[in-house]
Amino acid sequence: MSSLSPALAELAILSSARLAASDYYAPLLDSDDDVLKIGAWCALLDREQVKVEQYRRVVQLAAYGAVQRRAFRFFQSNWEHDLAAEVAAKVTTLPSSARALTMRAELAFDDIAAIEAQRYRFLATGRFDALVTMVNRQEIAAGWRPALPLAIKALILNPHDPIAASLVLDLLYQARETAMLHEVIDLLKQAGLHPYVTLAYAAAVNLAQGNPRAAIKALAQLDAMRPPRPDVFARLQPLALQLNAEAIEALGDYPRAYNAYVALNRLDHGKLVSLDDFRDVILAAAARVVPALLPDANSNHLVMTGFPRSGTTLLENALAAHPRIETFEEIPATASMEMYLHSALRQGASEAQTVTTYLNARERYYDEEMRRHRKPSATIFIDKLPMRSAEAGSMAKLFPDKRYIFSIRHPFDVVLSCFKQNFGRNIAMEHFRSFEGAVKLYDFTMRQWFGVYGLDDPRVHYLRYDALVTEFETSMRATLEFLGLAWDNNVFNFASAANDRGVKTPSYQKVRQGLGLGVQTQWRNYEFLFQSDAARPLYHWAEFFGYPTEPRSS
Amino acid sequence: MAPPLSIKSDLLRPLASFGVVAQGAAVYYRELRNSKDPIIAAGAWCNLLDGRLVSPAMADELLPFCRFAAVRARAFRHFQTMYEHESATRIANMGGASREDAERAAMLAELGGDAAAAALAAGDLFLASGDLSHLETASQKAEAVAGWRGALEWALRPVVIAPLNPLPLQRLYVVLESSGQADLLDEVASIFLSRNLHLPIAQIFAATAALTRGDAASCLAKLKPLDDAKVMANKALVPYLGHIRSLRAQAEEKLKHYQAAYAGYLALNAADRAADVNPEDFFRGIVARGRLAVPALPPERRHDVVQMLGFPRSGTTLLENALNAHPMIETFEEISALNVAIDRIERAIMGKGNADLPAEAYLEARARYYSEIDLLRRKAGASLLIDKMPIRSADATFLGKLFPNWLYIFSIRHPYDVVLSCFKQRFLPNPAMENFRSIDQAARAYDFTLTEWFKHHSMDDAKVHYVRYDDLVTDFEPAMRGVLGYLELDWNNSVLDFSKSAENRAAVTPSYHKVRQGLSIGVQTQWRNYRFAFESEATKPLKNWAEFFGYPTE
Repeated sequence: MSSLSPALAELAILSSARLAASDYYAPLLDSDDDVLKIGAWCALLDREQVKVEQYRRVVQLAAYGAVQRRAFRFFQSNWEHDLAAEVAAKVTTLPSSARALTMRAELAFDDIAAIEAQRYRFLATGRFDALVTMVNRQEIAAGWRPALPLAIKALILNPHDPIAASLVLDLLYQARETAMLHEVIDLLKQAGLHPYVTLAYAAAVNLAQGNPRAAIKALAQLDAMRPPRPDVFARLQPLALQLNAEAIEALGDYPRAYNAYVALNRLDHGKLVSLDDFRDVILAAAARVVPALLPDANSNHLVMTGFPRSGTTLLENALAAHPRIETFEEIPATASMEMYLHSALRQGASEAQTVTTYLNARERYYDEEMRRHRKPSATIFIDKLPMRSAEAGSMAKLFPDKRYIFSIRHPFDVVLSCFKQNFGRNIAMEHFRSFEGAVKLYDFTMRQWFGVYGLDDPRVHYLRYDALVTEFETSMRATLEFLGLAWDNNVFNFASAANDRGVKTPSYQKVRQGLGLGVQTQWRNYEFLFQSDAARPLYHWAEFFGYPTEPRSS
Repeated sequence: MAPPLSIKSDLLRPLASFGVVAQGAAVYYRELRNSKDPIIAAGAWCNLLDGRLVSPAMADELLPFCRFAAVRARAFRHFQTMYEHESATRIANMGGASREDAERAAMLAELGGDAAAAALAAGDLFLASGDLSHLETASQKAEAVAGWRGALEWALRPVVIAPLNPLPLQRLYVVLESSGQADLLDEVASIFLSRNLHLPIAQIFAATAALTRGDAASCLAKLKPLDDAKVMANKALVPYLGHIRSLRAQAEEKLKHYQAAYAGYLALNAADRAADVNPEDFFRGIVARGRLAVPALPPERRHDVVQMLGFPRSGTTLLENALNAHPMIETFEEISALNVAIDRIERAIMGKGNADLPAEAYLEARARYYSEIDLLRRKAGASLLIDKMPIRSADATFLGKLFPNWLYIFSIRHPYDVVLSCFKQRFLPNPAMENFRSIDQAARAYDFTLTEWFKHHSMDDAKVHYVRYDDLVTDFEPAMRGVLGYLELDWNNSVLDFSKSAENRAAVTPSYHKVRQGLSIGVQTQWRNYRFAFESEATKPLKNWAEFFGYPTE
């Protein structure tokens, strides 16, 4: 086997995954790494492959809850009651409750403590899902690089679990680390492991290497293959459909690509959400009669909005690289406020009481932000949520002086991009499961926003995605000026900074590639979509923003 | 609205909560949270939290229940979802027993053979996790200390906590069915019927009650809608398939439809067959142990352990219960002590690579037998220990080598009745019992076992006291005096009350139901009704054994 990249070197052990468990896990039993050591002993105990000469060692390790409960059952079922008694008497050296630590870490938004709590949980229980959570939390906290070693551990301890394999492969795929992805696929193939999972990611490699035909062929083979488990199928199906659509798009067959994206959007996300619910909630909040409130003292707290896929992630990453700015990405600040208003607003309350309720609600908004505040040098705080523009009506009543940065991109590209993307499910994103739904949401949102704010409102700094990409420094200087901040060269390094942040929205892959990508525009390839009646509302907005709408042919 | 629910039996009082079950989860659990039983109240809170049925006004009332980890984890998530971070913080900082504490308590209870503590530990595990299966475990443990009444108390809790979930009803059914509680079975059925809940399962409860009362026709009428296809198509009913087939067969027998009953028992055995248990392993194990070249061993120093053997369904449970009522005797029913000794011999053989073991290895195995039985001793004042395992007679060759001085009590019953009863009975699957799936198979196992036994022991062997089941039932006191005389113990009147003590013991084998009815049920003989099943070549040896024991075969 050729030598592996240093980051993957530990995976070499997978070449012996076909050996008996006692031989495979042997090198891990004395590992300096607690997770590997305890995980390996748990694996042997679960398989009842502990030898008599290893009994004393097992008793010693029973201070770890994961070993303790398995060792107790193992010794009891082998009628080794004295050893079982010794095991039961062991007092754990771990913190008493991993669950309490997890709670406290969540409250403190402390990712490192949350990961540590999951580590304790693994050592206390030996549960695979603790490892999965560690990988996910680490990725969110600091990006794929520190998450990779954790995913590798999960795979080493569970070499025959396809979910463990997909953890490693997915991290590398999301990070677009094609060379390493290729290495892991080869390694798994040589070890005779996970043909189903490797085939899916082999298609990703093909596509990344500019070979969409090979990707489509691999995906067809995958489709004909029997998935090893239903959960593996459920995990890989969205990826396979997304890759298929992207590969067809890369071949330039846009009508078929559209159909492939339709198939991706049709994936069962569980119970359907009514698209009208979102509109009703927004309109009800906007219609509230809010009494005059005291001025809002938090003038250094701004909102960054627009519409999803309008360049807000790029802008947010660039701004977050500035030492004086702290950004908060997609936090539930208004949700907390609305939850409070829902239970606290009373019919027949006095005006003074109502004012107090709204001021408390405002406090809840800022409380959600400041609970997440971690950057000591920051003086400007930015709440980034592209869909917040739909809440303009209620925001203007509660925060009449609030200032905004608003991203603008060609509405056709915005809607197309939203439709093509596989978003996490929520009441707003549900609209993006069809082209028509995406158009409807875009139109509704822009109507909400421009019903309150004009293009020349001094409270709003409008920023065009195209300008940001083509004239980055000029655009950023203007934005910083709006924020009352001086230029800082760190802003240039946003792409490398984005690499060390977790993928919170689907836009991160592009942001990590920096400005080299240029202006992303695809709508003309899908012009057949924009000639339909469904697309009609978008023409108004394209013209409003001054974007061209004529088809390629004209 | 459903009429008010009146509960006749005090034992079923917890089911009074079903009075409001039709009014929905919010009403049901809001009422149930006031239960004086902390387990039921905690279960109610878990459901209120899972169902998002906790209003802000209930928060103060909820906090004290957060001492239970199951409630604590759910309450934390609830407050976080409501953005009530202060309340979530209070909960995260609360102490209270953790799952680890409960697990340790369960281990210590198991080691100490303390079933009462084990039941409480299982209850604590529920309080730590909210997992209802722990309450079933608690019911099983409680049965060992407090008989069916103790088991019932625990079995009702999950039924009350999850009134719409059919799973917990299985344990409730087993408790009431195995203890022959016709009135309670009927009352549970009528409670479910009155609330339009679990209707087919209620039918099974009612059918069982009818049969327990001797009304076979009513039993069959109630089971009529529950044909196999219907049962198999309903996930909630599948676990009752064996019970339904058993009820049908018993009812047909009661109606003297012996051909139909026989077909019913065959169907029952087909449903119960364990695919992963090989009945041939029983014979192989006996032959292999019989061939061991055990060197001559010194006589045993222990003379306080007597074996009770025979063949399953020969009256050993009756005899064992009667002997256990004697203050100087402690009996052990189907324990693993000899298996431990055998396991140690097998380990030594595997370690050495051949079966040529020195005497020390066998002496160590012998010592392990005694240490295992000593570990299980609970009865202060008992000087004689009786190890009851009827099928062990087949190991006579091996036992003679390892324990040459052992004394035995051996139960004899008409071989046709023994084999018929084994065939009709539902055993827990193991290689020996898997031989009872047909009359022919059971006859072979009987012949094999008795042949093995009488290779080494005659009817006038001084080391064996033979007891005839028929004598035990018809002339109880003389038969028992004979056994006690053999054991060199004085008569004690408590022996006469054995059926009362059996009430408070857990049903370890299928024979308990009969034993609890005392001697009044008389000699149970049925073989003449099933003569047609004893005409095969395979059953011929039974005739020889019947003649050997002096039983009629005409």
